Amino acid sequence: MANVYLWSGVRALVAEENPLKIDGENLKELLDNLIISYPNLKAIIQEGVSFSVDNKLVMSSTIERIEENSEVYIFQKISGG
Amino acid sequence: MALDNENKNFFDVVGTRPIRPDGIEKVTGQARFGADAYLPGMLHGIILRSPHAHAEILNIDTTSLDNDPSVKAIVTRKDFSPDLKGEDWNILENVMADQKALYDGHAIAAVACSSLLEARDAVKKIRVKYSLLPHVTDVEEAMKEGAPIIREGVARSSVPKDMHPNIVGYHESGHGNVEKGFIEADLIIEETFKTEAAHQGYIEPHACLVNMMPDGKGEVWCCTQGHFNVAKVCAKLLGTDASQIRVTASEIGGGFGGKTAVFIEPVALALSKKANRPVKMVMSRSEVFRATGPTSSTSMLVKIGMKKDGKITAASGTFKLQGGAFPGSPMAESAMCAFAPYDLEHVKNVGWDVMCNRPKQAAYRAPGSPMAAFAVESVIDDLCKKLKLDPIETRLKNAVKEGSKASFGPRFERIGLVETLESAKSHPHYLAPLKDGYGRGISCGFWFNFGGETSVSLALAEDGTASLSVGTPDIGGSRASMCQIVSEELSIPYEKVRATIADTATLGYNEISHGSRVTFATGLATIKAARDMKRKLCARAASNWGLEEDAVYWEKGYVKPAGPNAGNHDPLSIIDIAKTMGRTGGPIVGHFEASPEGAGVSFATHIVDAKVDRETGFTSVDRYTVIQDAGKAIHPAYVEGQFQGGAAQGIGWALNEEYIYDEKGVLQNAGFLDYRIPVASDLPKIDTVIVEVPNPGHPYGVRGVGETSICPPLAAIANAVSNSVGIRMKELPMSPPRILKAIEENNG
Amino acid sequence: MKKVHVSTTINGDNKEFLCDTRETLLDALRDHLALTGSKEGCGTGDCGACSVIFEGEVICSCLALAVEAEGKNIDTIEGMANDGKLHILQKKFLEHAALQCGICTPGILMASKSLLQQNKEPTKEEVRFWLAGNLCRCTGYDKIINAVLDAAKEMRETV
Ligand code: FES
Ligand code: FES
Repeated sequence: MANVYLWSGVRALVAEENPLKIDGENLKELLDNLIISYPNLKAIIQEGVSFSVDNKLVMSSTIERIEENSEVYIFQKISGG
Repeated sequence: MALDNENKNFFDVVGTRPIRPDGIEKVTGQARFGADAYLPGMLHGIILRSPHAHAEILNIDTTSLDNDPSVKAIVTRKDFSPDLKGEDWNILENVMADQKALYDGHAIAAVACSSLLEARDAVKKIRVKYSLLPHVTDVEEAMKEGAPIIREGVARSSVPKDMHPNIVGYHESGHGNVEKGFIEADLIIEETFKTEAAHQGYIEPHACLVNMMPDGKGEVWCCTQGHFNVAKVCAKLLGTDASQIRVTASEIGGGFGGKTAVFIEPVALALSKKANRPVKMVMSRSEVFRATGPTSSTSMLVKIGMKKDGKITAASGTFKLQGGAFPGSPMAESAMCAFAPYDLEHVKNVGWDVMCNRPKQAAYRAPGSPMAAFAVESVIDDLCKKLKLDPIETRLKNAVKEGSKASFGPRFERIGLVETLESAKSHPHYLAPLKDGYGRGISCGFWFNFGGETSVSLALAEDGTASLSVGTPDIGGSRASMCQIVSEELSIPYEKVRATIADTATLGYNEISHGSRVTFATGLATIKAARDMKRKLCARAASNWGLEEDAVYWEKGYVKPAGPNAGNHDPLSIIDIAKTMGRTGGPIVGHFEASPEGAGVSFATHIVDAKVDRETGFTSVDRYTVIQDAGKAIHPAYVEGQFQGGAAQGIGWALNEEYIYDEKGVLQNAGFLDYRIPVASDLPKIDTVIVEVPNPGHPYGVRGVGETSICPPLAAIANAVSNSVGIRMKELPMSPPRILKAIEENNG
Repeated sequence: MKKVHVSTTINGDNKEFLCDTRETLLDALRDHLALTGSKEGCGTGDCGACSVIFEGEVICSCLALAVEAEGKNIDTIEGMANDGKLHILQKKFLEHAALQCGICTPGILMASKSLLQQNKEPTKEEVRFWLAGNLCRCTGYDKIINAVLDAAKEMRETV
């Protein structure tokens, strides 16, 4: 199970649990499982998110591998100039 | 073979300053930019733009053009796809208005004629009936009760209920408990700040030449930071397939984020489709100002608590950014970058995305970060002053390092903020005494940097030279860096590598050249493609010798047998292998296609001396120093150029540049005369120090460099100006009228 | 509207073209003579990207009318290199990395050439003020100024 941290603006939607414990071999599975557990996050995730996985910034690629106890932060999507 | 992920620390070519491969064309006037293309029989397209800030479009009457033989096509919103949603719809709405004109300069219709002069005449004859609506252009005004609503129902799901309908995005992040942190502080300062919108100000206006064939195949030539994105957007807006639109990127005359967006290409294609002729469109400078770019204007509230010894106990900030008449301002970026340089136990970042009757904001170098740094670094400076602390020591005391928890969540990997601060502390500029009347300003800045989809191909020629095809337009000399990388990896001379920006039909998808990603991502892709080629060269040599692949190895441009068991073979050079490749298995091409992640974040520290003339309110900048962590500088001269260019843009934004709207919401300064970007005589020498703390996520240690350089200048200049004039300046730009007003208010 | 016939000399070559009287010299160079090295950054005389040397003086070609070229001598960026040999300024711009995107470069080179014709030993300040009519958004000007000063030095040494 990975530890998943959401930005505080949406934590109210997941009943203040922080971090969330979510399964997944990679980011895509993790997001899928996150939405299954918390369907009200679906819209927010679809609007665009970026990540950090064990402190590595991951802007969009959801094939990033997740380990047992990985720390995953989910941010609102970041874009550059 | 461990070729793939090997990290390099010693270089032959990387880190040197060769002449750029596209240089000769650029100094002789032969380089072809967006507006430099012509086709036989081409038409000229012109867009009719709204003169109103907010109005319902009741009727567009083109009957006066019906019998005009010079008019070959007219398009309005009806000529674009009716089924778009979300951001695709937003882009279309910005490209061509539907029911309402949402800002001064919003496109309403377009015509194509056989000459530009005819097109200019024709467009004036279109009669549009508008019904004026109340408008709003200021971010704070837009959130007040009774403010005109730009569009209902656009708010993202993260926006708390009961907020004003013009607030369409909300961000909140941070950790700890700021209330608790503020209690521990010896001094708390809370201030509001405002910044005006600045335009990217690239010297080349948007331009394209397109040809839409009757069979639905389209060709586009245009200046863009992302031609693959242009193909994708045009296809969507015209309701066709991305593969049917082939886009070739011209040389690009500056972008800075502003050419990541699409404006005229879909319109030109729609005109071309109707006229069955090629269509060229070139924006005028006033169109560039009125309808493209700029960045967001902001209103910000920042509160920081500090101990007497300089330790920050808590920090919070609210960053309200208007992004024009569309959602999407970089408020989350502002919020996440604001306190990123500091290791904070208690921090809270809030961002609001607000709509106004202004053009759709476009990315501008590190979007969101410079303004946030202006607010935060101003407050830190005031705290230092009141507590009699040294501004660099105080920043060092709070600076993030490897392992520090970032204000936006995770922990930092290896980073170079402390190194830039240490370097600033011992820099001759910081040690020099301050001249009479001058103020000195210091600021730090932060930006993320990006990876993203990247595809490159590296082909070997029979004479052992190499052609590299990349899909990221070269906005600042990246072809030179890519040739250096190939030369480094293959041990062939720099001059023997040719880099080309391939069109969209030639390579896999490449994300836009944005987010300082080119040297990082395309560079990484080029390293991997070269290593792929080396692997293939080894395999080929092995097969020529009748050996297994692992019985050979690569060393400095040669394949050699690995040890006595492999037999006695003379090493084969790239040229040897290339010469016979047609007969020994066919062409040798190295590839890379992936979405590399792990772009290293970067930090900078800037120092500036400036003096305000109290009579005129005019600020002169006397000395400027940029110190930034580049990870690894591939071509140091172009890295310095990025540092200097970012600083110069920041100086303009801090002192002069702003969008000025009149009471009708019409832009008053849509030209370089009144929107004054810095000229050579405005600026001092901009000194640079390249710090190199390698990015662990890149085989050479590269971090992006293009954006971080614009993060500190707004704050550094504001601190210098405030120190010179003895008044805290809280609004940008610090143009003479604003400074005089501040002096007057301070006296009164 | 009937077009006007113009005969002129550009980079030493005799050239003729037909133009509308409303067209600028820059339009004529680019659209009628295929000399697209001069750029249009503003069309209002504010950016200098269109700088050419007109009868020995540097001007913004977007502010001159095409018909004014009649019987005149005009130098553009396309004529700066001679017989495949770069002008010292061009060489120095490359060596000093004085261009990033390069859109301002033709105009800045023409303006710099005109400066060095009149002032063989300009100071840093003089170069900065002379080039104040040529906008560059990419470089912050530093490397441009260095390239011009270095070119001036080399030109003094070679004559
Ligand atoms: S195009 Fe002539 S000065 Fe700008
Ligand atoms: S190099 Fe881009 S404008 Fe000067």
